Amino acid sequence: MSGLVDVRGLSVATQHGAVILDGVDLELADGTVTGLVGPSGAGKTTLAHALLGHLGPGLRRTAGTVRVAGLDPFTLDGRRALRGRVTGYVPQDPASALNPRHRVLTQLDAADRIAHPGADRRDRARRVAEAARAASLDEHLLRRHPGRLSGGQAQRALLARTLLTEPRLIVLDEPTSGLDPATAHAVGSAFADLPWRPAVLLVSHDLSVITRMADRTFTVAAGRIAPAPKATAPPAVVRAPVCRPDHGQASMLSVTGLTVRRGEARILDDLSLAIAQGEMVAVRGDSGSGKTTLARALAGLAPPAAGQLRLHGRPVGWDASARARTGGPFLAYVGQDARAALNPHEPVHRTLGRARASAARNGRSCGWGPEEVLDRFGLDPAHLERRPDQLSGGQRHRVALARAITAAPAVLLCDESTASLDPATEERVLEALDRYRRERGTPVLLITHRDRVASRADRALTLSEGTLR
Amino acid sequence: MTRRTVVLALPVVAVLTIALAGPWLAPGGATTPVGSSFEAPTDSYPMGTDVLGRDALARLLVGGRVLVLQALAATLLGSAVGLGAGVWAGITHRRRLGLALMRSVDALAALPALLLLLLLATGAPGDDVVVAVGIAIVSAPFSVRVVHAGTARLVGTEYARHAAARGEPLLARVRRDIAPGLAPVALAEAGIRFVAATQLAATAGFLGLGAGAPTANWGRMVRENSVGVTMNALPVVVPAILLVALAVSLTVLVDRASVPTRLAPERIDRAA
Repeated sequence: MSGLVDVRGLSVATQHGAVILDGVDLELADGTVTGLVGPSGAGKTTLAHALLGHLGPGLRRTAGTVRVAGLDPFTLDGRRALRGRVTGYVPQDPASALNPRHRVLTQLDAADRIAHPGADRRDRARRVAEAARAASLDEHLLRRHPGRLSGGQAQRALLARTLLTEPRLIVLDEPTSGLDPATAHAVGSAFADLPWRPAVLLVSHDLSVITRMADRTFTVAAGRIAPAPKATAPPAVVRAPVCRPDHGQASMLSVTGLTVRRGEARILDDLSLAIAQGEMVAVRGDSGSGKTTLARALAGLAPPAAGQLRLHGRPVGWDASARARTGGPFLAYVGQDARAALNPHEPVHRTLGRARASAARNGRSCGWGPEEVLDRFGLDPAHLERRPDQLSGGQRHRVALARAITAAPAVLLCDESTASLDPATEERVLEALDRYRRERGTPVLLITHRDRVASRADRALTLSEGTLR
Repeated sequence: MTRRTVVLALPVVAVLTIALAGPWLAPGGATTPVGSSFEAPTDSYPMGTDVLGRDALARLLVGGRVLVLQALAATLLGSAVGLGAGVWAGITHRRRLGLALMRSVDALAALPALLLLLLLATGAPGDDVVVAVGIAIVSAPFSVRVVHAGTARLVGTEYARHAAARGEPLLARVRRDIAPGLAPVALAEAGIRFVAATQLAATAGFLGLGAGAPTANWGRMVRENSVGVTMNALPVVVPAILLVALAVSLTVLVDRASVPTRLAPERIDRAA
């Protein structure tokens, strides 16, 4: 058995001495898929980054060694030899990882040029098409810029880019969080069955993906690693009763004729939606069906071509900052890319403080004190001093949610906000959202791929071909 | 501050000290002849004499202050205008007003810098302040452009848009969402502009703008004494070197200050 990756006694700590990883041993062999699970903030991403020779700001290695294909990624030469050739990495927050200025195809071509310099143009096109197919990425999406991809599509574009370089080690950090179950399944099987038999390290909260893909699974908790008990089958799915929006009922939010065009294509086509006071509605749909477009249009971040929005029967404009200037309602959007949603220069306490101040300025209050908000979202007061890049992916998502709630919005729009959380934390966050909408009567729109999340909602709608049904 | 930064800062500090404190250190009169033209260096006159037989060292010490002060004033003025106009045009919801402002800035940028300087100097001859204002006017449009582009990028970020959607006041958004991201850009741009302003101030001196003929000025020294460069090169070379040293080391310094420093991996290893 050849140990491609050999981690021995790796310890990582912050500048202030807080231990992130504590004597971790990990061996990855060619052709094996290793799953890594554990609560949000346990150090999973730090361990994955260590294989690439990267540590987050303020972190340092206090003990231990990392060897990938016999090289030390913590040295400049080792990292240079490994990066892009031996190691492939798919990060969380896919939208931040693609170059927004280049079409997906250009970026895939560039990746192939690194792996196969001087290759024939026809071979290159064939390899790009194969990689796109393996990552379930439709061919017409290749012509798009990353800004015009949905979260799940961007994730698959990254996967395709990683496949092109045929790396011997593939590190996947939450690779399927933005994918619907069918696509996640297809992508998962593609990775478990790659012809050049790479070692795959899979960080995920999605137990169904882990059980399907991983040969063995480890749990990271409080900086220590241990073999995970045989994962139990995912709990039986309770489907929420699906019903059509009831226009007769006095609805708090109502949308009619919502149409969003992109060039010739209609992303949303004459869509109608009504949500009652305090109602929680789940919206599902295939990756790329326009769920995010819907939420961003409602939030006023991407005004649509046509349509009318009413809150409490009063018409509301489509532009968020115009709403804010004219004393209109605030519809909070919590998106898939929490890294982009948080100001990188700002510690958490200021982020939340600003949200509280803007609520107070408009005479609103979320009804929960600062400590209560933190507690409800499972955040530690110690996180208050940190900036976004010192938080884990799941913590960033929860800060973004906490900020939205603290600002006391009229409507809360959650776009896969819990996709990168472990089941226990996800449960806690959903509980907080549930409680909030019951206490305050704030309608919540939950965009999700997961049955478990959708089952928390009062009703579930499916978005397909531009309309909700 | 690392040792390397200190080393890089030395030339800047040295040139600025010579320029600002020079007039107090000057050994004798900078405008009275002490010998014949272009005499070689001697013990009492270490840099020799210039075209009119004046002490070149005294003129060097006296001639930097006005130039540096002009450049500094022009840079600060230009930055103030650039930050004010650029940030406002980038963040305002009155799109048309913002666009109109940018177009008028473009028109100003299209004016040839030297022509404008000459025009202003003819209107108010012999005034150093007018030269500084002129330099500020010709360099401000570039500042506005750079700051506007940086602001527009930051205004488009998710977090800035969320803050706008929450209805936060303009000044709070500028302070929290725009300023931290804009600071490196604005700093680097001001550094470049200071270097350009020094060159322009020297050019103004070279052309005889600002305070009249007998007054010393590094730019004017280069012009006056270039005829005698074969007999005594020092009155030309030394002010030129001082100007170049200031420009180069300042740009390097500003780059170091404005590029976010990351913890180098080698340093991580040493810690381990």
